[in-house]
Amino acid sequence: MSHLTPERLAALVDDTLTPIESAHVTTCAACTAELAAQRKLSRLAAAASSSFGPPSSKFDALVPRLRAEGMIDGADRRATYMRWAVRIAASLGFIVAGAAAGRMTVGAPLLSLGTSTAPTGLSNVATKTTGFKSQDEAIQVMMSSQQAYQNAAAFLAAQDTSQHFNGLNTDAYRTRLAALDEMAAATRTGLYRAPQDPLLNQYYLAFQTAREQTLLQLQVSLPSKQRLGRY
Amino acid sequence: MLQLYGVAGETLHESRVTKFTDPMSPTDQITIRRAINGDEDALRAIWTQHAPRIDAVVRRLVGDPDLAADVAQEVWIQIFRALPGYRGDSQFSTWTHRIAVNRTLNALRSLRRLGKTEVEIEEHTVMVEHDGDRTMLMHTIDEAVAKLSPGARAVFVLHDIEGYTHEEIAAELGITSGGSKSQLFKARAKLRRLLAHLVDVPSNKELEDDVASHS
Repeated sequence: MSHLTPERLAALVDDTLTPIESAHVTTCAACTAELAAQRKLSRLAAAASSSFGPPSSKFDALVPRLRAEGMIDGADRRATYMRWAVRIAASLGFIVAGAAAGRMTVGAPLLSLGTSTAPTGLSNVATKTTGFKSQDEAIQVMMSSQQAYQNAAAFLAAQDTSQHFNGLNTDAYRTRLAALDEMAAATRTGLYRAPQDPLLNQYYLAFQTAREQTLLQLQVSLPSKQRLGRY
Repeated sequence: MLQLYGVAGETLHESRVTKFTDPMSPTDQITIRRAINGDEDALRAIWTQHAPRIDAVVRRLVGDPDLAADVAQEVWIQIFRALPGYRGDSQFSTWTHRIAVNRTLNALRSLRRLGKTEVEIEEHTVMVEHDGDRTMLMHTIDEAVAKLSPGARAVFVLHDIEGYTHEEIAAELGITSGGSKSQLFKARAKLRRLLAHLVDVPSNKELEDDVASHS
């Protein structure tokens, strides 16, 4: 019998040798080697199915079309998250500032928040909240305060060279990731009970976005030869 | 909450894609629902998770990297358009993969690239660094596959890489099952030549000679 053709050898990756072919292959080193090569090629091809390079597409390039076709909401959700983050930060800032102002007005030391004096500061905030004549006035004050907070944060970010504004160390990012995971888990649990709640939805996705960004920052903060496996 | 897991429905092709993806987690379900509602971050999250695999199958089917990038963009638009129709009858990765294959083959048909099933192949071998780097190895295989004719490439990618049967390939490409087999065997035979340096198994005599020359 003559040698098996290349196409027949390729078919034998899936097919069974006929008795005549089998008899030939057992005595023909060339056909045996060719069959082994074809089987190796088949294994390599199967392995390729789990090997991907970087994507060919770019999500940012898709966005204009997705937006044009109405598949993306008109509202810029990232901006919405930022506004929420700023509002929360501003609220916390005012509570702390109110507490500090309260303590100072009663002559208490600023940094020793003992249980006996803390309610004074907080009650001071509570007293102030009753000073607004209308909801509109309160909203106006809140908006202007928010703007003032943003301006101050921007100024500090530009001037302050401490670690608070120029990047954190690896441990700090790991701590942040752990906290974000806990917060995401809590909002996810809430979403199972109230899947339509817009506030929970926004927080959940905000945590996920922040988590991705933190992972990137953590990756950057690691030494160049070290790769992030877990945190 | 929108139920995205189903138990009955159409028969779906479960290719090798299902072996490498976990069952859809509750997080995925929430993300898909957000994406259907037009949430950009959720759409981005779906793209980030699935683009490497989806774009890889597009790239392998198309061959040309620049054209593959264009086709991949169209594939993703189609996936997002079809998102409201996803009923959870199959794994999400399987569903996206099927759309990717269909759209890519349609794109190739429109470019008349699947009509030419046999063209000459450059016979020079595709070189690879013997550094054991799996990524480099796979890149070399992809380069060789890109040198096949469009029809032979589609059959090889779908059968040997993606795990489709000849009957499924015949249905996708509008050819017979026998035609699919014929294309596959020719593709394998040509790839075997292109990748000789990777797949050649040394004979016992060659191994003995090699040992002798180093002793």
